[in-house]
Amino acid sequence: MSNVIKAPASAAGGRAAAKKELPERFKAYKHIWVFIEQERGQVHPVSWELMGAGRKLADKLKVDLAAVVIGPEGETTRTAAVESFCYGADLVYLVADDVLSEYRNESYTKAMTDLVNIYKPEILLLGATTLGRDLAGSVATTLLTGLTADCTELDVDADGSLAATRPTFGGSLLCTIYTLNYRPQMATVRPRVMPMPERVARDAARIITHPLALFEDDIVTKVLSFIPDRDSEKSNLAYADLVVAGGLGLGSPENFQLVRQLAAVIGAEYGCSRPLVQKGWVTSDRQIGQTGKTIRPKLYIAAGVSGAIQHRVGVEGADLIVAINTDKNAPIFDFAHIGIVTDAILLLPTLTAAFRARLSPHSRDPKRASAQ
Amino acid sequence: MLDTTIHVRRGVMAYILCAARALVLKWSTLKAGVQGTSKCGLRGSLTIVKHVFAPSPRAAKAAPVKAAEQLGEALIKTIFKRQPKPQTDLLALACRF
Ligand SMILES: Cc1cc2nc3c(=O)[nH]c(=O)nc-3n(C[C@H](O)[C@H](O)[C@H](O)COP(=O)(O)OP(=O)(O)OC[C@H]3O[C@@H](n4cnc5c(N)ncnc54)[C@H](O)[C@@H]3O)c2cc1C
Repeated sequence: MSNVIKAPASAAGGRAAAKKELPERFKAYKHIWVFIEQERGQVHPVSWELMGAGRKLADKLKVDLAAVVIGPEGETTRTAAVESFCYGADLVYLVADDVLSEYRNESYTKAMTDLVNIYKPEILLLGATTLGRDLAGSVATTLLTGLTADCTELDVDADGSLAATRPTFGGSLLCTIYTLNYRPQMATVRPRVMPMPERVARDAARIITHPLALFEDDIVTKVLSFIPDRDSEKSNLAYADLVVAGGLGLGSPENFQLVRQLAAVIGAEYGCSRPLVQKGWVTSDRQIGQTGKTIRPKLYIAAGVSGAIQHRVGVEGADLIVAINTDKNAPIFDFAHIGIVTDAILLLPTLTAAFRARLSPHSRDPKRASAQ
Repeated sequence: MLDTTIHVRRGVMAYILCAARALVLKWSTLKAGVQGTSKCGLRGSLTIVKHVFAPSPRAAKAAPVKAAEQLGEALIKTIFKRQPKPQTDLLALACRF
C-alpha cells in the first residue's frame, strides 16, 4: 500500500485468526466504498488518494470499488461522479439534492447511512479532513459499527477483514485494528498518507442515483454564511514537492531563519517539528507529523530533527529524505535516505549558498548544471 | 480543528468538568475492561486491536555524506544522484526568474 511504516508480516489477524463467523445479517455486505468529499465545488485530493488505496483493496478481494458522491444537484456534483471513474471507480452512488449544497452533519449522515443500509458495503473509507472526521464519526455511531481513524496503512485479509494500522500510545507505537463483528468496516486516512493514483481518462460507467429522504425543514442546523479562513491557503506544505524543515536542534528562532532561507532559494515550503510550534517559533500550520501535516514531497530536508515516530509518520511518504543531525544515533537516520552527521547551523548557510550558485544565471544551462 | 491536521483546539478537561459541575468517577483498568496493555482495547468495543508494534528501521541505512571541504556542494550532488527530479524542477524554477 503506501510506503508508510508497514505492519509486520505476522499481522494477519482477521476473522480466520479469530475463528469466529460473521453474524448472518452482515454476510450480504460486499464491495469497497470511498466517500468523495466535495466542498464548495472542489473534490478534496484525499478522495482520489483513497480511490487509489481502495482500488488495491478491491482488486485483492475481487470486489467492486464504488465512489460515493453526495452534493447539490448540478454540474459540479455530476462532474465529481464522472471523474471518479478516471480514478478507478467501477460504479458511483450519487445522492444529489440542493439540501446538500452546504455540508451539514445531519443531511450528509442521512444520505450516507441510507446508502449503506440499502447497498451494504463491506468497507467504507473517508478522508481524515475536518469534514470527513465529522461525517465518519456520526455515520459509524448511527450504523453502530467500528471506525478506525487516521490510518497510515490499509490492508485486507482474504476473508475481507480490514486491517487498519494507525499510531497508538501517543504515537510512540503503531497498532493494527479490526472491526470483526460489524459492517461496514470504516476507516479514515489523512491527506497525503496514500499516494495519488494516476488519473486515467475513462468514460462514466454505472451511476446509481439515490434520492435524499430529507427536507430542509427537517434539518435543525442552517448555514447562514460561509467565512473562509484567510490563513488556510497560506501554506501548501502537504502538497509541496520540496520541503525543508527544522527541529529543536536549531536552538533558536533566529537559526530557524536558515531553514526559511534555504526553502526560499529552492522554492520549497518550510516546516518544523512540534516543539517549535509549542515554543511559538513557528505557526501551527507548518507542523509536520502525526498532529501536523502529512507530506509526500520529492525531497525532504530535515535539519536538527531527531526523527521521533510522531514526526516520522508524517514524512515517510517522501521520495528522498535528507537528515542533518549532530548525533549519529538519532532515530531519523533509521528512515532517512541520506544522512549528514554535522552541525545544521553551519551546514544550512553553505547549502543555501551552493544551491543559489547552481541556480544563478550562469548555471541555468541545464546541460551545464547537470554536468556540474 | 485545523484542516489536514488532527489538532483539535478545546478547553482544558479539568476546567470543562469543573464548569459543568460534573461528577468525576475514577476508573481502574479492571473496571474499564482493559484486557492487557498489549491489546489496549476495551471489552465490548466495536473495534479490536490485534497487534501493537514499533516501527522498524529502513532495511537500507541512510547513506552518509562524508564531511568534505565543500559539504554543501557534495550534498547537492548526492541528492541529485539519488533523486534527479528536483534538479529538473529547480532548473525550471530558476529559468522563470
Ligand atoms: C501525542 C503526540 C503527538 C506528537 N505529534 C508530533 C508531530 O506531529 N510532529 C512532531 O514533529 N512531533 C510530534 N510529537 C513530539 C515528538 O514526540 C518529538 O518530541 C518531537 O518530534 C521532537 O522534535 P525535535 O526532533 O525537533 O526535537 P528533539 O527530539 O529534541 O531533537 C533535536 C535533534 O537535533 C539534534 N541537534 C542538536 N543540535 C544540532 C545541531 N546544531 N545541528 C543538527 N542537529 C542538532 C539532536 O541530536 C536531536 O536529534 C508528538 C508527541 C506526542 C506525545
